[in-house]
Amino acid sequence: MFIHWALREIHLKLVYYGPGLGGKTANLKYIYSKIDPALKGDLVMLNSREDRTIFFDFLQLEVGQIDGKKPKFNLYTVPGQVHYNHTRKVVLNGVDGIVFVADSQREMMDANLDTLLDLEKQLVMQGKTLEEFPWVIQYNKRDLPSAMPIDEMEKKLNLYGVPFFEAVATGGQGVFSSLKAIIKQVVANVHSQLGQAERMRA
Amino acid sequence: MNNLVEGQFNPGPALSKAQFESVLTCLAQLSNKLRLTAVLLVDNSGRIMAQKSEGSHGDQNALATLAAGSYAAMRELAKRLGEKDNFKMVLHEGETHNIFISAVGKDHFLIVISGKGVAMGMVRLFTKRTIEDLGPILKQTSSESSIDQLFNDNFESLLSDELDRSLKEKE
Ligand SMILES: Nc1nc2c(ncn2[C@@H]2O[C@H](COP(=O)(O)OP(=O)(O)OP(=O)(O)O)[C@@H](O)[C@H]2O)c(=O)[nH]1
Ligand SMILES: [Mg+2]
Repeated sequence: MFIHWALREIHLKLVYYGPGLGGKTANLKYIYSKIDPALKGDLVMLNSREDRTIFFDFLQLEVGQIDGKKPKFNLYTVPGQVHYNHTRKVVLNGVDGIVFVADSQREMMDANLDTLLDLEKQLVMQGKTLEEFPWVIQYNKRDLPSAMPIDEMEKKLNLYGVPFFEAVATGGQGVFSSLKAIIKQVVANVHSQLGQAERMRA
Repeated sequence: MNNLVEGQFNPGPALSKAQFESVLTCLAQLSNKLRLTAVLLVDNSGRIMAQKSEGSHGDQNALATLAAGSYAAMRELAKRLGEKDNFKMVLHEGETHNIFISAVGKDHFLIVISGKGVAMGMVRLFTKRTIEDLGPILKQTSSESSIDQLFNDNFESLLSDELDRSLKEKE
């Protein structure tokens, strides 16, 4: 989180994380295509020729003022392919909340798990853990025939009982609900930490 | 950068009003001297702290984020070649503009976009002076405002309503 007092802006950095081809970029594309133009900046995509993310995608959203403050949401995706470890680290720097985009296809379960472990490692390097960090899970590609049942995916991936959403990112199902949920998680997290700080002072 | 609640929960960096005004003054001076197309002070994540630009050049946030990304990538690259922590700048000389990205302390950098009419030597020299001025400003700590004031009790429910209003499919 970053606070620009003069402009009364509150910036949150939200990162879409998950295995390659899981649908992270599809989330940003859908949001970009559907949201009121007055609320969005350019969609920046750094891709290979095969449309794979090689560095990040970026989209800034803003909503109306709240109590005189202007929230701005900086949405990023990481490259999911395993060998882009260093670029993921750069993109994750200063992250406030994560949407973990899991690929529902049964054959992708190992990739989901590996990526979740990789995320935990990256967070630990920033002094954070998945247990305490704000994140949500999006089970994407629910439209595909080999999609695993949700209970089974929940057991494997949702270790800390975070909010989860079923999605078809290309068609938009679950995209906005995941986004709203992560924003609320981040703000609630700030609140509860403030509460703790207050109790310690008392 | 000032800690918001000293020694307590620190939600991250902030820029105070006073810092913002001082930074703007520095950027305006540099911009006038070099007749710059744009100059932006940006943090490591690509967030714009302050900017001064002539005319419009598309989405400034996109520009800042891309600069942050290319700067971070070049720094990693330099590290891999065994360069220690002395990586300081990225320069792109284009057909109509030069882009000069230069570190300001550890957490910020300056993006200077100049027309081809201005000698690169001048750009570097004056940018270096501006960076020396910016360093101390960004280090200031201020107790101006605290985060408690920012998030009052209503904030969460107001935000929730606003998200439902704004973040939705527009037909
Ligand atoms: N059937 C189906 N296809 C999807 C869905 N979401 C994304 N796709 C497709 O899956 C492919 C990969 O999607 P991307 O959004 O590029 O995946 P990514 O996670 O950004 O991948 P990397 O950039 O490599 O990390 C594209 O062809 C999408 O159209 C979905 O919910 N259902
Ligand atoms: Mg992608």
